[in-house]
Amino acid sequence: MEALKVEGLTKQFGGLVALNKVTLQVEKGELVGLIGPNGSGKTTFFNCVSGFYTPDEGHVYLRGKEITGHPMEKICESGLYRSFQIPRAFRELSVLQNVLLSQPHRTENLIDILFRRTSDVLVNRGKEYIDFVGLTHLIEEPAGNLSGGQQKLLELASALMKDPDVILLDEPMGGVNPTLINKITDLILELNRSGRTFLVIEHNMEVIMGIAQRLYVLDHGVLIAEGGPEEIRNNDEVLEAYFGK
Amino acid sequence: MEVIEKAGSMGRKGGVQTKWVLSVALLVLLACLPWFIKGAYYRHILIFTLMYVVLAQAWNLIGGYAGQIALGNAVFFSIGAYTSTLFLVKANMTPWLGMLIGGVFSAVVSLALGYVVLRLQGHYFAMATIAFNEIVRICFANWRFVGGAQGISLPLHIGSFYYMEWSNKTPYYYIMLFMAVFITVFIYVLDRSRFGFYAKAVKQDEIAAKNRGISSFKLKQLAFALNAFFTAMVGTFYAQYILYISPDSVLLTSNSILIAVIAIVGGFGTVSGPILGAIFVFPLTEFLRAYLGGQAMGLNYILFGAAAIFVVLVEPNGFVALIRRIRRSFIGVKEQERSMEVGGVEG
Repeated sequence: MEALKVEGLTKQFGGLVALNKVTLQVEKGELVGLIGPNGSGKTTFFNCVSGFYTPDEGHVYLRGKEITGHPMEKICESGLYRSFQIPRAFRELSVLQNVLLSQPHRTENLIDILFRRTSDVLVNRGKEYIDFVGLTHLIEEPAGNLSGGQQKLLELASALMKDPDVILLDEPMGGVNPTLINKITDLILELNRSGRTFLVIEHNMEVIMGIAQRLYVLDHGVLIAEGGPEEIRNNDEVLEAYFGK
Repeated sequence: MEVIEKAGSMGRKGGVQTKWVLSVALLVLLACLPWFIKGAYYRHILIFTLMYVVLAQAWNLIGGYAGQIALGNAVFFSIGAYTSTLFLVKANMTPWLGMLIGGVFSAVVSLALGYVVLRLQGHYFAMATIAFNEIVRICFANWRFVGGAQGISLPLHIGSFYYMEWSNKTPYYYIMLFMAVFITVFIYVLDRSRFGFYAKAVKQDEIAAKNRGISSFKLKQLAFALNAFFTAMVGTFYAQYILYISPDSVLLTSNSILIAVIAIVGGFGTVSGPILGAIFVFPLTEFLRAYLGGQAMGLNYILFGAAAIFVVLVEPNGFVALIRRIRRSFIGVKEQERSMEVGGVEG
C-alpha cells in the first residue's frame, strides 16, 4: 500500500490556481523528489498535505486513511512529519528540548501534561537522534544560536523523534554549505535505506537527482512529468518549464 | 567538559537550596504575620493582597503560559461568588462545598466560552473577553433571581466554620494564605511539567508547535479552565469575606483588567511574577487611596498607570526580569540564564 497517496489536489487563491488536480503517490520506503521552478506550487502542495492549508478539492491518504483537511497537529500525530523551508526551530529552547517537542502527544493524558515530565526513555531516544545528526556537542545550546545548516539537522532529528511514516522535507539543502550538504544527503540516504519514506522538495538538482528514486515535476500547479532521474533529465516539457522554449 | 557540567549542576543545586530555604522562611514569616499585625485595616490589606496573588496567579495560566490576554476574569470570579452564595441563600449549603461547585461550574463555562473565543488571536481574544464580561454584568444586573443590580447580602452566621464566617480576620487570612501557597506550588509544578514546556513552545511559534503535533487549542482550553476554576474559588471567598455581592462590585471589567495588569507588571509566564505584582500594586493602590484619597482623587490610578508604563518601557517582562537583570549586573552571574530549565527536561 502507498505510504502517501494524493488524488486530484486543488488549491486556489482567489483567481490563481496554485495547485491543479495534482495526483501523486509515494510507496513505503521510497525516496521521491518534488521539483519545479519557483512559484510552481511545491510548498503549497506541502502546505495542503500537512494541514497548513485546507485543499479546495482532492484527497490525501496516509497509509490508506484519509487525512484531507485535518488540522496540522492531527496529521502530524497520524504519522506525517513536515519540515519548513525556513527552519522553524524554537529559538529559546535547547536543542534537546526542540527534539523532545516531537514526542508522541496522542497518548498523553491530563495527568501527564500537568504533572509529568518527559520519560527517560523518550529523553534518551531524543539524545540518540541528536547524536545521529551530529549535534551532541550543542545539545544544551538554545536553538537560536545554531547556524542555518545546523537548524536543518535539528529539524531532521525532530522529524525522527516523531517516528513518522512519511517525512516531507522542504528544501533540506537550501542555504547550506557544501560540506553540510554532503552530510545531510548521507543522513537522508542512510535513513531511506533503513526504511524511512521521504518526499523531498529540492532546488539543488545535482543532489536530488542523485538521491531520489523517482521525481515529480510541478509547473504552474500542474504535474508535468514523473519518472526516474534519467527520464526527467531528458524530458522536453521539464526543460521547457525550467528554461523556456 | 564533564567537570564543567558537574560544577554547573552543583552551582545550581546550591541555588535551588537557597531558593527553598528562602521560600520556607518567607512562609513561616507569613504564617506568623497575624501576631504582629493587629490592625483590622492592615490585615484587610494583607488578605486582599493575598487574594490578588491568587487571582493573578490564576490569570498567569491563561495570560502568561497560554499567552492569551484574557480580560474577563471578573466573570469567573462572580460565577464563584454567585454560585456559592445562591446555594447558601436558597439551599443553606455550606460555602465550602459551594466553592467547589462554583469552581467546577466556572471551568465548564470557560470551556464553552473558550471553544469559541480561543480561536481568536491576540487583541481579538482580549476584546471578546471584555465583551463577554460586559454582557454578563448587564445580564446579572437585570436578573431578579440573582438579586439584580441590588445584589445579594449574605445571611449572618458569625463565628461559624460551616458558614465560613468569622468576626476575626485571622481565619480569612489563613484561608487566603493557604490558597496563595497552593496555587503558587501548583504553578511551580506546572512550569516544570510538560504543560509549561509545551506552552513555551506554543508562545514562541504556534504553527511550529502544531507541526510537532501539539494541540495549542487544547492547551489553551486547559489553561483557561484552570484559570476559571481558581478564580471562581476566590470569588466565593470574597463573598464570604465581604458578605455582599453585586454586579457593580464583582463584575466590573476594571477588576478583570486589574488582575491582568498585576500579573503583567510583576512578570507573567513566571512563577514569582504575579506575587511581586500583587505585592506592589494592591497595597500601593490601597495606601494611596487611604492617605490621599480625599485630596487627590484618582492619584492612585495615575501612579498605577505610570508604574505600568514604566515597567512596559523598561522591562516588558516585568519585575521578575528587572530583578534578574539587576542581580546579574551586580553579581555578574551569567550562568543564571543557562541553568533556566524549561519543563519536561532535566538539565
